[in-house]
Amino acid sequence: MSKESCDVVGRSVFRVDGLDKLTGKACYAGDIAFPRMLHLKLLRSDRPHAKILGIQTGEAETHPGVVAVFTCRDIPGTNQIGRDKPDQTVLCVDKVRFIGDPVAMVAAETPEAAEEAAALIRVEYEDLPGIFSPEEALMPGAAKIHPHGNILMEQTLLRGDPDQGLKDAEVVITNTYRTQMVEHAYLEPEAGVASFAEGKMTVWMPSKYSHYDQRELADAIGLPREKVRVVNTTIGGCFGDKTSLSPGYYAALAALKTRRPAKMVYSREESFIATRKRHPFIIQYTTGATRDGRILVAKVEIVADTGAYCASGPTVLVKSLIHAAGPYEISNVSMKVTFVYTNNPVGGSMRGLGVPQVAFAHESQIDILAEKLGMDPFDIRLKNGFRPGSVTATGQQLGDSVNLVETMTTVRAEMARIGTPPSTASKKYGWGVGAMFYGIGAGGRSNPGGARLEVDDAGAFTLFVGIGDVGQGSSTALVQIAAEVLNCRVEEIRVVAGDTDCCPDSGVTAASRVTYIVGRSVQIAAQRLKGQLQEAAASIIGLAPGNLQLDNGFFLCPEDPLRRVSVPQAVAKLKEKEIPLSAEGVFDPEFIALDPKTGQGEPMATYAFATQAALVAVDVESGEVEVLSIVACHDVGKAINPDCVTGQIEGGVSMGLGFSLTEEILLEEGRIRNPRFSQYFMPTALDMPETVSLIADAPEATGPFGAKGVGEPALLPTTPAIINAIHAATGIRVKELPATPERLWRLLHS
Amino acid sequence: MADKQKIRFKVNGAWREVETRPDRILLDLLREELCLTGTKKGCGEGECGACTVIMNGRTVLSCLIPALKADGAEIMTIEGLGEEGRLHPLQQAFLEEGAVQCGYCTPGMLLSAKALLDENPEPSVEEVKRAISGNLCRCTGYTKIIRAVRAAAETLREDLDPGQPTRRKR
Repeated sequence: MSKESCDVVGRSVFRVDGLDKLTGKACYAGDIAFPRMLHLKLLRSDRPHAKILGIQTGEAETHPGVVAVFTCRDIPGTNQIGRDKPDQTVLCVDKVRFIGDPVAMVAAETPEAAEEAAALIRVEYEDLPGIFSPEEALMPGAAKIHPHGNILMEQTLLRGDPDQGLKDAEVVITNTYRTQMVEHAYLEPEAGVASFAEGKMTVWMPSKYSHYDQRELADAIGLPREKVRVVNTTIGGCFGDKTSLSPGYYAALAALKTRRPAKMVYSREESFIATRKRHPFIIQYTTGATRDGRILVAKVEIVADTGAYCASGPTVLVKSLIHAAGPYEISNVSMKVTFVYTNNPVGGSMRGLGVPQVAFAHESQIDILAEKLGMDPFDIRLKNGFRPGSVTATGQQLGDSVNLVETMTTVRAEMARIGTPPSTASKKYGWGVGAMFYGIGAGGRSNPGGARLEVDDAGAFTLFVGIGDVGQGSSTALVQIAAEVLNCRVEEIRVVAGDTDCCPDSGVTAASRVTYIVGRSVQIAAQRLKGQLQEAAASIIGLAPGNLQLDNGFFLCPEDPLRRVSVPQAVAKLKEKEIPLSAEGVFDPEFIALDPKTGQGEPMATYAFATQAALVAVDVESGEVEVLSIVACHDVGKAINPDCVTGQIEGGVSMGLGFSLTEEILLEEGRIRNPRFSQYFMPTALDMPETVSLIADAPEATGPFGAKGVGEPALLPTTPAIINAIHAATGIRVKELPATPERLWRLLHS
Repeated sequence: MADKQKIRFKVNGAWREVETRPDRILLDLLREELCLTGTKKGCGEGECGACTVIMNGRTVLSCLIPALKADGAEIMTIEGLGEEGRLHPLQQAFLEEGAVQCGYCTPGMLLSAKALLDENPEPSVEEVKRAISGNLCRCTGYTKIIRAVRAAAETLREDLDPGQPTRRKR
């Protein structure tokens, strides 16, 4: 079998976790129960910004069924949490900074007793002035949310000469865009279970980064890291959330003190209130172009509400900066991005990491420009769009895996095939386009992803990776990559994911990095292990290793297939020679960190590209928008599992649909007014458009079998496509998300 | 706390007897007393559909059903949909179409689909959408789920009438 032909990669094999999930056997953290297990409930702040003067726990402690009550004094280790800036506490000390800040915790025999007792804890607060928008936070004399002030981080970018660009431009447009706060809304509310036995803490929890949680959690409960084991349970959706300060942390805290197993499960309301959100952005965007549609300059200023704590604010900031000019070659760019603390819920990582917000802005700008210049929306994008070798706003020259053009031409053709229904007086139809590029992995920093492959005496393989499958199918894709190298079936490789005791640190499931980075590590590990086995087999047969091939569990010489050695025989030989029966792979893509002033650098080794188009029907009487069709074409490098890729696209489209039209966390002085599914409207099956998902191949040389990533790109072009379609249908330009019927009605009737 | 009461109901084909507090909901009873943890709690308020089970032939949201109401009822949970070692055509179709991602909505989604196909063996896309519109899914965008439900319907029809034309190709 030739090396080039792929038998497993590129095929939509069934998901490795499919059977368990379909039969109800998959184990989520909330499904775990132990005898004598305690149930936990947090008391959260009901004030947006206040000093804590005192906490009285006496009444709660004597409530029937209560075993222990915890305040910040009961944190054995460090109470400071946070990867980029440890400004958050496990339990608040002297101040609360948002409605939902955890203040105290009850451990009780039943969930009901825990909840009742939590309500009996008395916290004496002294209210401080609340700050509920970045504008307020930046005002001189504004109350300081943190001792260092209200600015979390600021980053600028400068490329070329934007002022000269503006002078040279024949058309200049400036607009302000606003995006809303969004909830991840995974179906599985956060849960965690911990048990402390023989000096070791084991925590079962859904985590997008088990090794990080292991470290942070161990520090918080004051145990050495090797005495804490985090075991990833089946993850019921994550979309960027589910790490740091989750129920597993609190369960560990309780298990350590009480020496009993402990469990915490968030209610849906608590999940809304306590967890992190998509950052709301205010984007001021100026674009200048020549009369024939060549974009000369982009000036972007972003102010984002990062909420009460840092969380992953800096990561989101950098990603938004890198991508804010869109997938277009623009020689003169300036940007300034400022992330500002408020007393609103905490902004965190959410699918797209700040790029959905900027994609809405840059795709609106290019559409407005096209209209001004009388150009077709595709023509202007094709004229300026990235091609192999193009240079990005950070000054990075792109490699060969750039197939934006094909995604555009494919979508354009499909759109023409579907056609546009004729508009009537009350119902207007229109198509809109959105394009995007997205850097795979962390922006401008090292982000290795380890993998280890083992073989046992029977010749069975086990793949160990630190990251759990969040539902996107990473475990399946990673096994496919290993199976491809080992020339075996997917079923012959077992995967162990996200157990810190036996899995290497693979980094975080974020930034669409798993297939590209961890997948490449898996490929390296598999090649190494295969090499070790091949050498052993060769020594048995008496041939040079290079003359052997691995085929369905046997090493054989193609010219003389009868001279073959089974994998178990090769394993026996390895053992005899005391060569390890495992191999590791670690891929860390190359990068050049961004210059702190100019934002120039090569933050990511590769980028994904995509174009989507939306067909909408707008009811001009009600302002209601129905999305009828989405055509999506994505350059993902090589699709390891096409069904998983289209599954990501379809899911991304639905999330983009919610971001465009219905989803918004409504805040009133920091309080979430709609913390439930009957008030927070995410798309149902009835809302989903007919979706055509297409894949444009553009193999990436550094990726496993040419793969890049798709998780976040899936969502990015949807919102601009829908918003541009609304404009095409009605002539109304929506600059503030979501385009609810009320908002659109006002625009239509003003 | 009110006294416990004894109730008897048929779950996945077997009669079970449990003692329950009257304020318990069916979802907790299934998960905690009968260890049928395949039924999921997504909101506890009847808004997400993750806890959907079939009771007396109809889908119910088990987070809204008082446990006592199950007395004498016949209930199917995800654990009873297929047989050991043999998937129900719906489960098989979900697997083949890639209709599962994180899996948390899957049990409820499958049971909503099962109830639909029991009533309507040849549902249109719109009918499938309506039948699962109370089951939220954040991962898939529903597209593959809708396709899977219709594919399963086709398989079930063929099983009933093997003389039907051959099934669609993958």
